[in-house]
Amino acid sequence: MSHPRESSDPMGHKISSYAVLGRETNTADEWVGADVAVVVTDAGRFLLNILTREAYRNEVVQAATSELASLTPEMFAAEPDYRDSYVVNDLALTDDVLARELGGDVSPGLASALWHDGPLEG
Amino acid sequence: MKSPATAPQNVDPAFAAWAAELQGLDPRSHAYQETLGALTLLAAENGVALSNGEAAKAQELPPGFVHREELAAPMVVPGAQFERTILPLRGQDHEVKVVELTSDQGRKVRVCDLRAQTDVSLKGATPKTQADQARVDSAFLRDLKGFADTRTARDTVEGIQGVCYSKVRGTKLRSYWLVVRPAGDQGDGVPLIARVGDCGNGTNYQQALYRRLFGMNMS
Repeated sequence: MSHPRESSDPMGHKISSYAVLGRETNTADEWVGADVAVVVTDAGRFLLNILTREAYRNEVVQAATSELASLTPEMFAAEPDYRDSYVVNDLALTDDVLARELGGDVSPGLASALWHDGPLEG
Repeated sequence: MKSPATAPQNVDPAFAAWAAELQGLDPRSHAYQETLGALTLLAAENGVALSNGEAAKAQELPPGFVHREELAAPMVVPGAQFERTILPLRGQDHEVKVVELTSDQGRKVRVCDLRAQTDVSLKGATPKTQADQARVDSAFLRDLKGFADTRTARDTVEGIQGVCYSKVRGTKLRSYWLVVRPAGDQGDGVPLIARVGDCGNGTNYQQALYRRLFGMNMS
């Protein structure tokens, strides 16, 4: 599925700020995922879901097993705009991990996980 | 949605096998619900309508739950409960219909739906298609089951105490909810969950929802 980039292609641009919107924790109360709002210079506002590798794996397994039981026919009618999460190798998220991953220019891997959510506001 | 039972004609043999398996299962069991879910999908593919009873059951009991009961008396959730959380729900009390669900682990949870009271505020930011709404509903029910069994939520909104959300993997679809009564009305240990709003998958939807539902900017 193609994703229109327009002039909002963030690849190679600098992330000027980001903010955690939501926090995902595992059964051990470790921080393993986050919804993040990202502002990219000259590209706009974006949304990102970031997960540790283990959280991503667990999510994929859950989607393949228990969620099948709740599938309904209308879910197959139209596929949503889908982006995979941005996966990090760390065991848990920390502020330092986010600063490392979101503190520079947008890499190709990061760009593929970003949803454009609107232009920069004046 | 409900239609009279029809006899399957020249349908996939797997349909008959699933239906036969269903007959041998306890309707209160998780296996029954999983099999019914698969049968529902297969029936749709074959153009077969399930009987009224089967279709009704498929709609009433979410996966992982074995008992559903609508409480006879509505509950009142005070508007003060939302003072620091949900903007459109502040300032007035809400009389709500409450459903009590029992999970396959024997844990109970009560749930009410306040989206009707927030929908006007969230107009333009909610799921646009039936498919997206179904995905959001499924995610909410998945997390409702998780909360019933563990009394913890997987995803919580940053900076707003007590507000949780259910995520649809790979999308921006989200369903927001919170625990309005941790231990039940009479201290009976059954929490009450209030579902308060859904976010669609469109551009700028989440920004709009954050402003209108929580009264704050995203960043």
